[in-house]
Formats: sequence, structure tokens, C-alpha cells
Amino acid sequence: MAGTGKPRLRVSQNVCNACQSCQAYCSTAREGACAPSLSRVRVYLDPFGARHRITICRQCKNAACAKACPEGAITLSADGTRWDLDEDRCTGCFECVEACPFGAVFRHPTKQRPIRCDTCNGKPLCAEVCPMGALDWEDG
Amino acid sequence: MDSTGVYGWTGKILRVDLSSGDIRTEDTLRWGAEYFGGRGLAARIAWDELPPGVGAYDPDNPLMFMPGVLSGTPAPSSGRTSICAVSPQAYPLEWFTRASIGGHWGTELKYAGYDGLIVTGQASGPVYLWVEDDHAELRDASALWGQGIMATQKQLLSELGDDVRILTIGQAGENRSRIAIIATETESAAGQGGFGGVMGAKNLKAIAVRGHGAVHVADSRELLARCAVVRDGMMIKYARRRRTNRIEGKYKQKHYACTQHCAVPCVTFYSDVPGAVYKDRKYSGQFHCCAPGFVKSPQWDVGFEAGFEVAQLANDYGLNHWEFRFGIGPWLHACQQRGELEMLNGDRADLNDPHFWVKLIEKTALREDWGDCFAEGGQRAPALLGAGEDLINQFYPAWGQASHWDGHGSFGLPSYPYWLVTGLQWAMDTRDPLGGGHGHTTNFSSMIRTIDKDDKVTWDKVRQLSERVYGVPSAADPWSGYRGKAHAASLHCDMNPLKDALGICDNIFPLIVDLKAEDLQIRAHGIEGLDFEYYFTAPALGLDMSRDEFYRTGTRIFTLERLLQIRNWARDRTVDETVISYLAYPETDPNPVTGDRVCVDPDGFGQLMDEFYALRGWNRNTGWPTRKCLEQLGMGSMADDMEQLGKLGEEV
Repeated sequence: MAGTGKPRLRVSQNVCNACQSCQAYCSTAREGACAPSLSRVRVYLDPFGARHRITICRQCKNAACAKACPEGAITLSADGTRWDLDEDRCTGCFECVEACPFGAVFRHPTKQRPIRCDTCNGKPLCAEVCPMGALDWEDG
Repeated sequence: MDSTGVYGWTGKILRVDLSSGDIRTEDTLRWGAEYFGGRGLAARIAWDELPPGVGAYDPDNPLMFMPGVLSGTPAPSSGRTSICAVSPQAYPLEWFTRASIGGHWGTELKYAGYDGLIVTGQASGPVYLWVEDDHAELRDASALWGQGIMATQKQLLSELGDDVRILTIGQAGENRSRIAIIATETESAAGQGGFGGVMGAKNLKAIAVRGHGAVHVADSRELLARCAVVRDGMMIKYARRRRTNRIEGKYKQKHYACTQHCAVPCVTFYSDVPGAVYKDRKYSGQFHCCAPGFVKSPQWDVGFEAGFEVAQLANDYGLNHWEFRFGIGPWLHACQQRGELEMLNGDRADLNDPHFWVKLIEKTALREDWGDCFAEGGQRAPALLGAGEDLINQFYPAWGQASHWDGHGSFGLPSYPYWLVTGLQWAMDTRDPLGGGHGHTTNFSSMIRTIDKDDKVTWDKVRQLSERVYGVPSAADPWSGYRGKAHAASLHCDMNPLKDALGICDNIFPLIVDLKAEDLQIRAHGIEGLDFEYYFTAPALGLDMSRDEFYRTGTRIFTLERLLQIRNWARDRTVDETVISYLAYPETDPNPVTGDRVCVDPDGFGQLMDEFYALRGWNRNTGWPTRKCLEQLGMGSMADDMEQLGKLGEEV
């Protein structure tokens, strides 16, 4: 979708249909196994009201996770569109998880490192597979 | 990559004995992988563990909850779960059969680390099962007993966290109704079979699950690429469902995927619909499949709000929608047409009055007064009420379940000769076969209404496609009478368990017909729709088998279920013929080809049965599989067992 600003992931909470394809594709593509707990995007289901809630990193301009990281392992990409995690520098202290005000950085269930969205380097798979347009990549 | 090298499976089955409180796990693959998961795995276990003589409400009845082997993977529309046990709804004998449920419970069970859950025994008082990864425990459910399905889920969500997935029963299940459902969320249900009553008899109110684990796949990159191809194939057929999920209409309607990874959901969610009977209430929930039939049918019209309220109340009390929409409701109407059952012990049974419908649901669920008769299910109710016994067969083809895509009774589609295919599926199954046996109906049987009768070129293409799919040109030809119909029925009898074993949506698969394609076949990126299931299963499971071998898994499961029927319930050809008396009524609507209403020709149908048995390698006189048939499917040891029992089919 054409826009005027920098590329970004647009989230339309109301139109999510609970299919959870985003979680399945994200975890399978990025972690090699399918699980909500391995996904960078999370869908919190609302079975009785159908107001499901999607949580995914907003790539904040002033990223609390990056500020909180004592190792400086979360850095802005060269094009300024996303925050990348340098896994070699990450010590797994999870300060980033605690710092994110949107609850969009997660603990890896079995490894000592966080799980956070890096927009698949500007080609987010979750937006590609979302059948309802709840996740949509705006090219900027 | 998973260190065990096992893909799709989690490797463990959870077993709970409610009588002793014993909870343990076992290795899934001790049962082999030849039957995949879901319904196939359940049948395999039942073969070893379900002896003859076990009744539906006996503590020994193993209630099995089996997600498909693909459930929890990114495979399209793959989050479904089979629930299998001896069924109280089955008629005239309670026998082993299955139901399928969507929602998000089955995948959660996989993420908790289990390929299935088997519950046996009977708790001494109400309990619920709480499973979180390796932890499983039985907890007191006294406070939940007597609660509806929505209240039970909400209570458990508030106690355990809103990311927990719950299966539960309502009052109907507690009261051992033969038409009680097991449900999750607002409308996903194991509807047919009465398995809610089995849970109730076990004093098991609910099963709550949370899982933090993963389902491993063999080749994630290839799987995702292939899923994308198949999703494109799904869009060819269901393009109208692919649209931005606008929230539209008076009740903020929106699409709702009843299962994981469904890109083309058929469910609509409605919010805050005011009650027509309980005017102080508002209802929100899913509304699909036969639920809109509560609003309006050929026999009644109560208006949207009332119909929605009745559907939601049935969901909450835990009753089977299908029974009321296609069985009990139309049968009551037929009785009233000749002046019977206009009153039920002082209550006016007016099908156009929502107050009666609410009473019907409530009294049935609570077994109050005349509702106690309906709690036994539509096929058993007339004898208990002492009325309309001669009419019930018009609405119940067989096995205690009401009309479904058989052109008769309360289901006017498809027209002759297509209902010969579904009629034959009914004859050979243990329940309504269209719970998993769509395929002919979703691909071929509507053609007579969409292709011009004089369009010879297109009809020739249909015959060519039929030959490609079924091996005979006549299976999808509306002018072909009984020819080729056994071939079509046989294929869909096998596709049905294959889909249930994988955990994929019956309504979507198989994807065969694209009326816009030159040869009428669905293709996506050069892959034929006929191959889709194999195409995405292979990289998910790391299959080491050919396409034909893969599809033969469905044949193996269907055949094993047949053996179980023969061994435990004396199934034979005469039992299969049950359906003929139902098909002998004129089809419901005038036939678009002949102009009149066609009845089955019993001799012609008998020959179809002969053909069906011959295609499968079953003896035509007994309907029993032969040794050759079983050995070709790798079921030689079962052939030995059947021979010992004197129930092996003689070679044709």
C-alpha cells in the first residue's frame, strides 16, 4: 500500500479473523517450528467478542527495548525502518522484554534470548499471509 | 529441526483414567504411523482396546480427543480434532464413530505436547482436567456443574488465564442426552454423535489446556512455499470469502476462522443481537453451517433475532443443532400436518413461535417433561412420545442422524443422480458421512444448476474430469443414472477419514473443480488440486511415500473402521441396506433433469453396492473385506484376527 512516510506494518485490530496464520508462518519461517510461543507476532483471541488483539513490534522511533539493553544489542537498521537484534551481543537478560510498553518483545521459551520482530528485513511474512488485511505492509 | 526426527507428531498421547485418577503418557508411535493421527489413530487404538459389548455410557468407553497429525503446523485449515468413542446417538446400536471439532483447542493440545488424549473411567464426582505442558491434573468441578458452555468457559478463563483453550459440555451433556455436544468457543462443536453425553456420564465437565511447546515440521521452507501455493488454489474456489474483514451490518458481522490457518472462513460472528424471547439478553457468537436454519426453513420462519437466540441457547445448553434443524423440527412439522403433536403435554408446539423453540431447547437439555423424549435424539423420540413413528424414517437416513446432502427428507440437495453417491456413502458409514465426506457435493453436484444443459462441450469436459478423478466418465454426469456412482462414493469414503486424520477442513478439501479453467480442474502454480493434500503434507511430515500410497491411508482407515464394525457390531451387507428405505421416498425437490421427483430403485442401488464392494475387494454377499484386500493395505494381522472370528470375507 502506498503511503507517504517510511515503510511500516499497519495493524488493523478489528478485522483479524482469528486464523493465526501470522503466528504459524512467523514461527515456522523464523524458528523452524510452529508455535505461538515462538512467534514474533501474537494474536490474543477473544472467543466471546471476536475483538482479537494483535501484538507486534511497532518499531518505535524511541525504542524502549533498545534503550534498556545493557549490551547495545538492539540497533536501528541502516535504512532506519526497523530495530535489529544482534544475537551475538545479546546475553539474554530480558531487560528489553520488561521495557517494552506494548508487551511486544517476548521471551524465547527454551533459549536465553528474546523474540522480537525485525519485519523480516522489510518483507514481513505475517502481512503476506494475513487473509483479511489485519496486518498490512505499507511501503512508505 | 526436532532432535527426535519426528515431524507433525509431538510423540506422546495423554491417558487419563477418571476412576482411578491415574494420569500417564505413552509413545504415540507405538501405534505406528500408518493411520496418521486424528480419526485414523483413534480407530487403530480402538481396534486393540475396544472390545464388543461396551456401551456409550459405560466407564470403559474410551473417549478419544485426537487432533490431526497436521494440526499445529502451518498447513492450510488444519487445526481440526476428531473426537471418537462409542456413540449414544448411533441407532439402532450404540457403536464406535467420530465427530470433528474446530476451534483452537486441538492445536493447543499439540503445543502442550500431546498427539491425543484418551479418557476412560468415571469420576466419583464432577471434575475437569487441567493440562499445561507436562502437568496434568483432575480438579473439582462441582461449581461448574449445572453451568452452560459459555459460563463454564468464562469461569475457567478467569481462573486459569485467557490464553487457555477449553472443551466443555453444557447441561445436556451432564444429563446424558444422546444429542449433547462437546464444544469450544461459541459455536465450534463435536456436534454429531452425542459425545457430550459420554463426557457427562464420565462426570468430566471440561478439559482446559495451555501449551508452550511447538510442532516440528520436516522442511519448513518447502512447507511454507507449498502452503502458499495451496492457499492460492483455495482462493480460486473461495475468492468471494477473500476480502478485507469489514465489520458490517446491524450486528457488526465479521468473518471468524473456526480453525487455524483458514484463509477463507465460512463462519460469521454477530455481536449483541437482542433476544426475542429473553428480551433482557443480548447474544454474541458465531453463526454458520445449519444455525441460520433456526431462523427460517421450509417449515418455519421465526425471524433473525429469534433464530439467532435459539441457536445460541442450543450452543450454551450443549445441544446438536443438526438434530433440531434437519430432524426433530421437520418431523414435528410432518406430524402436525396430519394433526398430531400440536400440543406437547399442554405446551403448544408452534414451530413459528420462538417461545416454543426456546422451550424445546431448554426442556430437552434439562430432560424436563416431554423434553426427556427429545433428549434421546430424533430417531428414538417418536417411540417414546407414542406418535409419528411411521414418519421418522423420512428424515433419518440411518444410524440415528438426520438428512444431509442426500436429496431427501429435509435436505433437498443434491438432485438425482448425485444423491446416489452420497446415499452410498451413507450406506457404508457409521454416521452421517457428510461430516467429513463432502467432496462430490462441493465439487460436482451443483453443476446441474450452473452449467447449461445444452452446453455439450462443457459437459464433455465434465465427463473427462470425472474420468480423471474417479476413473469413469459417468460419475459426475447428470444423465448417467446409476453408472459410475460407486466409484465416486468409494473415493469420498476414503477422502473422508484421510482429511480427519490430517486435521484439515472437510468443507474446503478436496479442491477439484474450477469452472473457469479450460479443463475444469483447479490448479495453482501448475499443481493440481487433486494433489494438494499430498503436496503440503509431504514436507510437513517428511513423508517417505508416493502420492498413491499417501491417499491409500484413507482407504486403510476406512477399512479398519469397517473391521471394527464387523467384529464388534456384526456389520454386514444387510445393515448397509438400512438406507434404502429412506432413499425410496421421492427426492425432496423436483429433479432439474427429469422434471419429477425420483425415488431410488432398490435393485439398482443393490447393484451399486455390489460395485462398491467389488471396487474395494469386499465380499459382495457379506460386505466383509477379503484377505487380499487387507493384505494389500498392509493389514495382514487383522485379516488373521478376522479369519479366527470367522468374519473374513470370502474372495470374490
